[in-house]
Amino acid sequence: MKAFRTAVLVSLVLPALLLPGHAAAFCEILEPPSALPTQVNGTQVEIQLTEGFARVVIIKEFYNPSDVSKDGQVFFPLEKGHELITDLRLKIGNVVYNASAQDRGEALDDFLDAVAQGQDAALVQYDPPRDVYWIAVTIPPREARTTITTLEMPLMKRDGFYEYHYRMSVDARDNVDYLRVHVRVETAAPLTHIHFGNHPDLPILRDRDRVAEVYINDTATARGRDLHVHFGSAASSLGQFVDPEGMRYVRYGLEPDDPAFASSVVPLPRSVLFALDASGSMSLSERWPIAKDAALQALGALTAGETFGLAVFGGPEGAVFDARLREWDSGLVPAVRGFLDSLTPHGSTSYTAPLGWIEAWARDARTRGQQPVFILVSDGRPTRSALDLDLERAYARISYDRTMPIFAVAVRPTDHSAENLLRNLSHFQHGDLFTISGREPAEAVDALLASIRVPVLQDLRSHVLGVGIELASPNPQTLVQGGEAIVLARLAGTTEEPFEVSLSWPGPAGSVSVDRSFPGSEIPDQPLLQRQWLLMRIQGMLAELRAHEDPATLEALRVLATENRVVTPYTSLLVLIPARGPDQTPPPAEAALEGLFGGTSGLLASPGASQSSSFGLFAPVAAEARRAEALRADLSNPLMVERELDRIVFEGSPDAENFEAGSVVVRFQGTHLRVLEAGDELVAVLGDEFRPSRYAQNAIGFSVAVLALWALVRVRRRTLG
Amino acid sequence: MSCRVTAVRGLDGRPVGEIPASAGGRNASRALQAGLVAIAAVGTLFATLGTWFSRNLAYLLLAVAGLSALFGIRWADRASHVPPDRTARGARRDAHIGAALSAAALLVVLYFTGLWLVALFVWPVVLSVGLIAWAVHRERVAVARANEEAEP
Repeated sequence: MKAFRTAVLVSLVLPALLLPGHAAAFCEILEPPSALPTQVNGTQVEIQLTEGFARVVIIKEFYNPSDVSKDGQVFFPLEKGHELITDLRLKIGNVVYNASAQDRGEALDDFLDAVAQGQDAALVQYDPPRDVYWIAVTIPPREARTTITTLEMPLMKRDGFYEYHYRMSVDARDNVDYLRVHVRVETAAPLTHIHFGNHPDLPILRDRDRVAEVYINDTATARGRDLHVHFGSAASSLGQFVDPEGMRYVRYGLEPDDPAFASSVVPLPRSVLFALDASGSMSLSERWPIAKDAALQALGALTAGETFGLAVFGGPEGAVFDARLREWDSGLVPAVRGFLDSLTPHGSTSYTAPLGWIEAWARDARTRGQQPVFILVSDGRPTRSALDLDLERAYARISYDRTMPIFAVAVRPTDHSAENLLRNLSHFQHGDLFTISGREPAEAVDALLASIRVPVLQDLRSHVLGVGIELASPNPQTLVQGGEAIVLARLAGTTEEPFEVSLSWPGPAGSVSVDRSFPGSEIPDQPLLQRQWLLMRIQGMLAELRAHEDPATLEALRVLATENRVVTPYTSLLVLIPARGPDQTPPPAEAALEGLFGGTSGLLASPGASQSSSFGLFAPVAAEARRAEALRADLSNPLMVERELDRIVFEGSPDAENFEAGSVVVRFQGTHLRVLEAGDELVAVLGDEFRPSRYAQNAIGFSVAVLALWALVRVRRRTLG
Repeated sequence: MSCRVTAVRGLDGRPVGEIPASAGGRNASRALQAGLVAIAAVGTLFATLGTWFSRNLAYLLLAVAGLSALFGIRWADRASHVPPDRTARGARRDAHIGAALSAAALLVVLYFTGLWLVALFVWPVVLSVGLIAWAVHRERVAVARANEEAEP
């Protein structure tokens, strides 16, 4: 029993560890490789948007075409501070089973117990090592299961509008039969603007002046294009809702152009910190000249009083334009260009290599009263040091500690995963990714510069008058360019009572405060305010816990999340289906796990287990073909192709023995080639097959062929003569 | 007991198995050319070993080498059965070289295709077929020689 539990746990966690680049999609399905993988019959997505809030319901129908029981898994790489999973339901046939919220550990135990007893179950939980939320659902052989997952998130206003992105193209990739997306935007005040960025031709159905709907019913429309919804309303950013228990929720938003802030709004000067990738892969596809142009163009946009730092990394060593933060001056352009021109891209890529410089410059910028902005320019392929989650953590840490947004410029990235990595490093750290696909960086750099928002007002405090006030919005908070200061409060009262709030902040000539009062009858209703308050409150507690694990906050979060059925790193949702009848015996554990551990196509099956193995006659020509294939596979590994190697040694040489005696990480293991990360270098260790002596047979063969042909020509001439 | 071998004539009126005198030099030249083609194909195969190796090209080269070698051996054999007094010395040398090159190429083909292993496994069959083929060949040669001797 214990062994079975362990095996099930491994079967659930192992795929998570194998998941490459978790934010490759909004929601991704993963399972161990098998001949008949779990199918996604279809996906239906219901997106509901309103001022400051988004709710997404994702309905996925899984089907297990095989003869063994399977665990379908859906991963949700949710952005910190954004979406949270707030409901999970499992539909079997026409019956829908609801989830219960539990402590994370208890929910996992209950799920494993249920699986061991042959019960159907579904669990949604946070996976700390991978930093993703995942849903595990058991699917009996040749049966279908439908998961209904609800995600909710607060939306922040930017430049007077709200934006919501849904990665629809990923769902389109997985679906077998259908993908249906329905977007409904319903605002409290008249809807003034709605636009679907990637799908401008979609027909928008309007219902009066506050509702707009869009339907996408074919997979082809969704494929390759995500959904970007951009909308705005004529609202005064004020709304309220009273729940059946008599608690009143009020949201009040102020934008930087509010007259109250007129004398106090001053943008912080920028301090732009560049990290340019000058590794071997940047020497290909003209990436390096493009990266240089992009950096110079971005620097050219700085104004007097702003500063910059420029670090270049590639191979074991890096270089900086100046060890100190430099005040920008247009006269520096030739010097910067000369510095960049003096460098030749080579060697391995470590995205953590420039972080030391960036951190030091960011500290310096803060002491100067500037806003540090980190811009990473690369093709998106780190090859050594921290990778994947470790790398994301390193970037998240520096961004959080220095309150610094991270932007990334992807210079002609080779594939989607390279672009995704840069997106993960930037988009989740208050920045964004900008991709240069052609040779001209101007458009991407302009977009990047336009998207940099610096704080215009700091230490803004809000004080709401009333009984039992509980604020979900941060207090104090920072107002950024184009952003919104929010007061989201829960208090006792009715919709008829006036709402009074006092705001204060440090102005140029001492503290400034402003009092606002609104009659209750003038505040429009917003039914989703209660959820908005809850999510913002939980997000605030999670942010607090990420900084300091306070037991009281943790307990409060557990209680709040469990009561409101919200999945957090500390709470889970579990759906248990009643046990099968006596005539419906569960599949034996061995059969259930065969697809994973054994059989002919299991994850851990040995190569010899394959049923399709050939028993053909031994022929050196076939062996040579296999050897050639192995050699070609070794030589075509990305580290070799993209010139990311810092050193090449032969197996058995003193250098190779020195490297292998030390602490190394194997970055590539081929048949005749290994790439090791040793210290700050990527070292290729070539096997005997690559030794020059192996080419003697080619030379001899070539010579014999040439001589034979020469002799043949002579003989023919003699015969004809 | 003695028997007299008489010339057996074909439809064209020529003794069966007779190799015209002019054919000695031609066959020798052909044998040498076939041997060289076989060796060139084998050499090309060696030149493409390693990362450039292509299984399809290899099989094509082995087929070319094998066929050339077989024809080379046949032509060399035909040349060798022409009476020495009717064959130029150079032609005999060409036939010998052609035969040697063809044999060498054939060995390489047998090795690379793994046919040597097949032959090893079914050696009684190979031996029987080989002995029968050799006997038939010797008989044809004997008939041809008798025909030539029987000619006035």
